[in-house]
This record gives sequence, structure tokens and C-alpha cells, in this order.
Amino acid sequence: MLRYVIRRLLQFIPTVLGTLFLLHYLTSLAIQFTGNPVRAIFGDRNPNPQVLEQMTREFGLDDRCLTRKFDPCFSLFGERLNNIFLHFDFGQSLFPQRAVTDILDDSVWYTARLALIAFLIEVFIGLGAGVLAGLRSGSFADYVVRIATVLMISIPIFVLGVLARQFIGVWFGNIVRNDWGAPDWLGRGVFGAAYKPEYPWLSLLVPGIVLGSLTIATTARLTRSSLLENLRADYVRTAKSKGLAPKRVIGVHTLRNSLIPVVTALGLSLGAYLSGAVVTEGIFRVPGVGFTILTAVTRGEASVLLGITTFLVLVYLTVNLLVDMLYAVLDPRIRYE
Amino acid sequence: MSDTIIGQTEPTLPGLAPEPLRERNASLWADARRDLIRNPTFVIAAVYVLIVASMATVPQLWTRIHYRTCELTNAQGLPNAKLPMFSPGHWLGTSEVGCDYWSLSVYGARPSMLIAVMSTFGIVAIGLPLGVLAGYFGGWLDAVISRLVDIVFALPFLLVGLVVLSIIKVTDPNQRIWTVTLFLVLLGWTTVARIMRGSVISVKNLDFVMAAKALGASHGRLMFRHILPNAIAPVFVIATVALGGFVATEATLTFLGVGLQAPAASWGIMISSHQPLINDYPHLVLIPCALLIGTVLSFVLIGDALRDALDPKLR
Repeated sequence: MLRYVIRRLLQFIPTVLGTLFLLHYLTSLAIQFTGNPVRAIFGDRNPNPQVLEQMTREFGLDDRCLTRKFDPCFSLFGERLNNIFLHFDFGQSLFPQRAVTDILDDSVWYTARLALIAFLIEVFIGLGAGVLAGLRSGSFADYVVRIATVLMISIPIFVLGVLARQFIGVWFGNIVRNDWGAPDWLGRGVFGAAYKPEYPWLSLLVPGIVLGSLTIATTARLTRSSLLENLRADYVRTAKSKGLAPKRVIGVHTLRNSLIPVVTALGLSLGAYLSGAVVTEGIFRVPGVGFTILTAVTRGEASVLLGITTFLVLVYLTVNLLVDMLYAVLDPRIRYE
Repeated sequence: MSDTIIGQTEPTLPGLAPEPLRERNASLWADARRDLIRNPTFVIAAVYVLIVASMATVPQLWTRIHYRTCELTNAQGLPNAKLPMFSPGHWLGTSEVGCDYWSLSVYGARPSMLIAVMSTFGIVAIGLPLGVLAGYFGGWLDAVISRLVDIVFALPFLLVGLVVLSIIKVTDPNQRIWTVTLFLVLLGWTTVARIMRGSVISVKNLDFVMAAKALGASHGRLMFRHILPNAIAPVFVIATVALGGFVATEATLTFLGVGLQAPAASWGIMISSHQPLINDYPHLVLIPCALLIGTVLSFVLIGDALRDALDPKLR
């Protein structure tokens, strides 16, 4: 196991560097081809060249290489890596003047709560539906799960978010609030159309479900197919034929084996949450990382965007690494490859 | 006893032609085609996709009004009329600025389909050769390509899209379509390369490849004449699902404000710009949502049907 961990850690370093470089190169190319992004902050007005220059410098975008097309900007990349890994500095925001790490410190817990709710939803509903459909394949429940998952895969998350806010938050919420006279925590908390600071968990429930629905369907389908595959396997037939109780055959022998790929998928769904959070937080006005990103997009603060995204990519890569380790613990075949 | 049976021919009645033995020995693709046209889900989804594709290529077939023909004032001369559904002349009503909603919906299919089709061609054009090379040669080439795939795959798609596309200042609608496409291709080819690599590895040691190799076929001939035709089936499934995925991604990026921009007709723009009106005119949001979901759903269903039809194990 130790050898496996060391090998994975060694592979991790080039992946991190490569991913960060790709992100850096893509943004540099975008700047090289379409000009200084700081200009966008001024909109139609023509900024004073000195002000523009000073702001560009404060954003850390004043490097000459950003004016030469296709220049990989290695020196700028080295500087950024140095800032990130040695000084834990992900850049600056100008309005208000704050470090990106401070902004993240404020917003990241909202997103963490949202992701936790989404994850729990995914585990309970996704796994549950998948196991149900897999064990009773061909039954009515199986058809319902299969049709529902195909539908859910096809609905883009922003459509689901907009519809959920309107139909659950506004229309159904109004019925709950006015006609039923429901208590405040239910009417404004659970069925509100936006995040309420006084209900830090309850008002994240609907956004969390929307975010979780991004991966529920994939999890359910994966669980189902993995379970079906294992139910046909020889070792299950052996277990059955030697007279084990069906409960034990399924609970101990089949489920444990078929859940191995599902655990990996669950871990990787964090990547989907990072992207999905931008959409859900924007729609339900949750002041998390995603909302901060959207604000930075509208304000044209390229360096804030780059800083936050770099941070999120690092989080995502670390989670990937941990999931890989977990996979090796669960499935010894991986370790001895 | 057995000798005589082998030697015998089937007795045929005079005047009746011998019934030819209907042995089904069609190719994988012919079998798949037979399966698909008998699959009602596939047929319905394919018809839907054809309708949307015809909207995208020849919108004039579906509407006589151009989507930029807007009625800025209503019958009373008041500005900014939003006609409800089933108004005379505008059976889906008009948009927030008074443009015919049906023609807007029809013309909105074009950018989505254009981006989806071009991106899918792009990811196949990049991912397929890289996957074949990695799978066929293995060794250091495989290591380099696989690492590159890992790196690109590790970037969260939508997030990086927000950053890069928000920095790119291109406002011309046509150029914007190209920019979005280029971005989707750059980050999207990894799935095709992965699938192709796995598929090539599973095919390259089969007997017919060995036979061709023994006869002295070159690497190029082995790869493209022998291995590729037998390994490409999963790519068709991936590409179909990717078409739907790109339609959804384009709409999402547009909704977030970094994809296509306002005067262009696009379902994503229609949804985002009519959000504030959803209370009084819910159809303005629901119609583009339904068209979008229908398109993505059709591609997913076609992909599922293709996967089942092309999998010989399920026969």
C-alpha cells in the first residue's frame, strides 16, 4: 500500500503543475488575443492610461509577455506558483481591496454546506434508487428509475434551478406561506426563493437538492449497472448454491463489491459540484464561492477569477487523489497492478 | 451412416425453387441499423433531432417572420408590448421587446446546434487519433498522451469556461460561436481519447490483427484498415451523447453571461433574459426550456439506443 501511495503522490505533482499551467496558458492566450481584461471594468468609458496601467499592475497582469501572442509566459507562471505555494497568495481583488484568500474564507463555508447537502441527497436518493432498480431489474420500479434518470441527465442544471426557484420557491412557497399559514422556518426557510442568513441550513435545502440532482442520475445508473453485473458473476452463483441466505448473498457479497466503482464516482462528483455551485448559487443567491465567481465575471475582475479557480482546481485535484487512495483501500487489485 | 448424410443434397420438389436459407450474417452495423429502426424511442428521438436540425439549417421552413422583426409598440401605441400566447399573428406571443416568440425559438436552434455539431467534430478529430496512437503504440507515447488527458480532464469544465470566456472580449455573434466552440473542443476531447484508447487496446491483440501483421501490414494499415473500423463503435455513442452535452453546456455558459450575447437568438439567452417575467409570462421561460430539454433528451436517448444496438453482448 505504501508503494502505491508514494507512486500516486509522485504522479500528483506533474498533474498539479500541468493543470495549473494549462489554466494559466488558456487565460494568457485569452488576454494575448483579445487585450487587457482590466479595460472591461471601465465599460464604455475611456480610462485614463495611468489609472489603467496602475490597476493592471495591481491585478498582476502587467507582464510584457501578455502582449505577445502564443507566449507561454513561463516567468509569470513561476511567479504565480511561488505566490500560491510559498505565500498562500491567490491574488487581489480591487473593489473592495482584499486578498482572494480572505474572500474565499468568507464564502467557502456556504459552498461547503451546499455541497454537503447535495452529497447526502446524492448518496441517499441516488444509491437507494440504483440498488432498488438493480435488485428488481425489469420491474416497475426499475422502469421508473431508468426513465427518471434519463430525464434528469437531460435537464441542464440551470433550467432545473430556474424552474425550482419559481415553482417550489415562489408558487408553492406562496401557498405554504399564505394558505397554510406554515411556521416561518418552513415557509420562508425551506420553501424560500433565495438564501436566508437566519436559516443557514434550511434555506440551502432546495438549492442543495438542485445541485445534487446533477449527479443523482449518474450515481443511480452506475449503481444499477454495477449491481446487475455483479449479480451475474460466478461468485454470487456459488454463494447462492451453497445455500447462503439471500440477504447475506446480496448484502455482504454483492453490494460490497458493486459499490466500489460507485464510491469513486461519488468522490468525483465534487468536481461537478464546483461547477454546478456557480449556477445554483447564482440562481438562489447563496453568497458562496460560486456567487463570488459570478460577481467577478460581471465586474470583469480577471485576477480574482483566476485566483479562485486555481484554488478550486487544487481542492478538486486533492479530492481526486484521496478518492484514488480510497479506491486502493477498497479494491486491493488496484494496489498490486 | 453419417457419410451418406453429408453427401446428400436436399431433395427439392420439381417446379419449386429451393427455399434459400435465410442465414443472418449481416455486419455489426447492419444489425445495429435493423435494431434501431425497430426501436420506437430511437425513431421518436431521431425525428425530434431532425426537426431541430431543420430549424437550425433552414429556419424559413418553419416561420415566415424573421426574429428581428419586432413590434415595438402595441395596438394602442404603447411602447414595449408583450403579447400573450395565441395572439393573432404571434401564436406564441412576443418576447420582452415585442419580437415574435415562435420565430425567436426557431432561430434560437441554430447557434446551439452549430456549436454542438462543430464541437463534436472537433473532439473526435483530436481525441480519435490521439486515442488510436496511445492505444496502438503504448509505451512512452501512451504515457505522454494519457498524462495529457489526465491534466485536461482535471480541469472543471464550466468553471474554466467562465474564467477563459469572460476574459475573451469578442462580441461579434459569429466569432463568439467560434470562440465557444474552440473552448469546448480544447477541454472536451479527453473522453473520446480515453474511450478510443481502451477500445483499441482491446482490439489490437485479436487474431485478425495478428494475421494482418503476419502478412506484413504496416503500422498505418493496421491502425486504420484493421483496428479502427472494429474499435470505433463506442466513439459514435460518446459523440452522440456529447452532442446533447454541448447543447446543454452552450446554454449554461450563455445563461451565465459568458457564452453568446444578447442580440443573437439562442435558447440560453431567451431563458436568462425572460427570467424576471416568469411570474406573469411563464411561457416565455418554459418554451425555450422545453426545446432545450427536448434536444438534450433526444441526443441522450439516441446515444443509449446506439449503445444497446452496437453491443454484440446484448444480442
